[in-house]
Amino acid sequence: MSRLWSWWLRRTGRQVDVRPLALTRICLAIVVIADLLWLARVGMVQRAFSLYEHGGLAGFHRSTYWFLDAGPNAGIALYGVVVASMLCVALGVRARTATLIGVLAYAQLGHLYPTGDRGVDRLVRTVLLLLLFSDAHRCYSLENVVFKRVRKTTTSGWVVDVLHLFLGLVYMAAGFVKLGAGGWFSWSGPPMLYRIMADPMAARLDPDNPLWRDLWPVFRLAGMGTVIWEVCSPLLLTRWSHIYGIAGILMHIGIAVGMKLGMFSYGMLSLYPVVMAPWLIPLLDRAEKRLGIGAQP
Amino acid sequence: MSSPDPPSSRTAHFRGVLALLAVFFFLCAGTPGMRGLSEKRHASDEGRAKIRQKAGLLAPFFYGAVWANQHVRGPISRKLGKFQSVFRIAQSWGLYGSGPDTVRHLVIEVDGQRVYRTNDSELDWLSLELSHRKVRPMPETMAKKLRAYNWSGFSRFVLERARVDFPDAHELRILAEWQSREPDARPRIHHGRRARGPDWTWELLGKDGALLPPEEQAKEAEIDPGLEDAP
Repeated sequence: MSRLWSWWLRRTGRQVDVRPLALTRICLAIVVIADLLWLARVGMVQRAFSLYEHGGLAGFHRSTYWFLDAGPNAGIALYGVVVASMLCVALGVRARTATLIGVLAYAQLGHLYPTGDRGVDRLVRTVLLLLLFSDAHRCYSLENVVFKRVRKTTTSGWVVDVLHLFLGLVYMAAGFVKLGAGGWFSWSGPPMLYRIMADPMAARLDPDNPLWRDLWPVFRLAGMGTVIWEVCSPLLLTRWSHIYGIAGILMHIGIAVGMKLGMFSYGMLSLYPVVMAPWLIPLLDRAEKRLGIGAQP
Repeated sequence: MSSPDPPSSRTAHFRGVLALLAVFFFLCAGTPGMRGLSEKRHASDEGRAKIRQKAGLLAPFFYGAVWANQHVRGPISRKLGKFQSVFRIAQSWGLYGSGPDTVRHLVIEVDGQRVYRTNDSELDWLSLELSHRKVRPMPETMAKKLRAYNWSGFSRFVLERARVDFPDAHELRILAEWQSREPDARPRIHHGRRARGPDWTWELLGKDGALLPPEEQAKEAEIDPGLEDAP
């Protein structure tokens, strides 16, 4: 057996605390439910999830949509399946099966309405699929309470490693795309971060407000800091990942406040229980001790 | 923490292989493709100089990422394309590489009266519907392009709602308003569409809201709603 393979087996056999992954599972499911319910609140479910010939908003659909001949309500049915599945995932009721069904239906909604299926939807689906390889569904689960099942306390560590790597690659890509676009380290013209934050189509800052113009140096420095932070994302693979993650949390809060990207920030922040595990686990220990829930639910 | 299985056990090997396959799949099929990072574009001396100018000290990292994306992730990702589409996990987002050069707003007018303008709290007809993140890309694309696949579905939705909320209306215009970032720059209509009753057929508008000539109108028929083969 090669030394490399032995190392890999040790790595994949390593056990870690399952609670941060369980929190990520719950948060992701709640974020998806909230996003879809908000779409219903603004009365756009039928419009968004219908074929063009049935009055849908999108002018095109992916040929990988499986229900082209299923009638005008197929999209609504898929929408219902996703909401119900995510509810099961959040509650921990048949969570593995619900994740698989929910992700498949969610992907079909994306094929039906590609314009509204954004990067964060794809990221959420990827992470939910990845969680299938862990025991996240056996912790903080309603099934544990109902069936008096002892909850899992640990799970395979490699899922956490892949999540760190995945998040690192997303940020790294964001950093390199910014470097490729250029202008982030320039001292002339409107700062890139300002251009993004004052884009009426995606953000909230009023581009006509002179106050923001006065703050260009701040935007410039914050933009440079963002690119450097993103390119340094391999730090997520080190033992300092939780320290690196502080800036990520602040950045996503900033995006949630300053931009109109809906669930984007909340979806990304749902991954942070895993990143912040070294600080989160002692907090969970204390909270569980105080609540007296021990190894349940 | 419980102790792991001894590395030599069958379970450990099975888990090792499963983990390897999963990592391989997720990293190749589900990581961002870094749109615009083409090696071809950055291979020339001119391209490399441009990158050195843009990225400074980080340029070597940039070259490495371009190479890995082009030679490792890209080809494998394409091979996994059909399989990943079942879960639709391929990352293809722009990741906010830069903001737009011009400030763009989408404006909706009913009988010459403005009823909607992006981010305008006073002109807020349909603002609730158009601001949801799943709908927002529609007005964003419309404000950018005169011709886009989604114009037909989007304009149909706006027209149907306008005929309900403004039953006496005779004309509806959806306009893309562009404004330079120069100080004191004035917004101007860049392009748009207009529909007039009683037949409510859509016509294309160009600069300053002028009606485009018939040959330009005819090109519109070439953009048919339909299916697209893409991940």
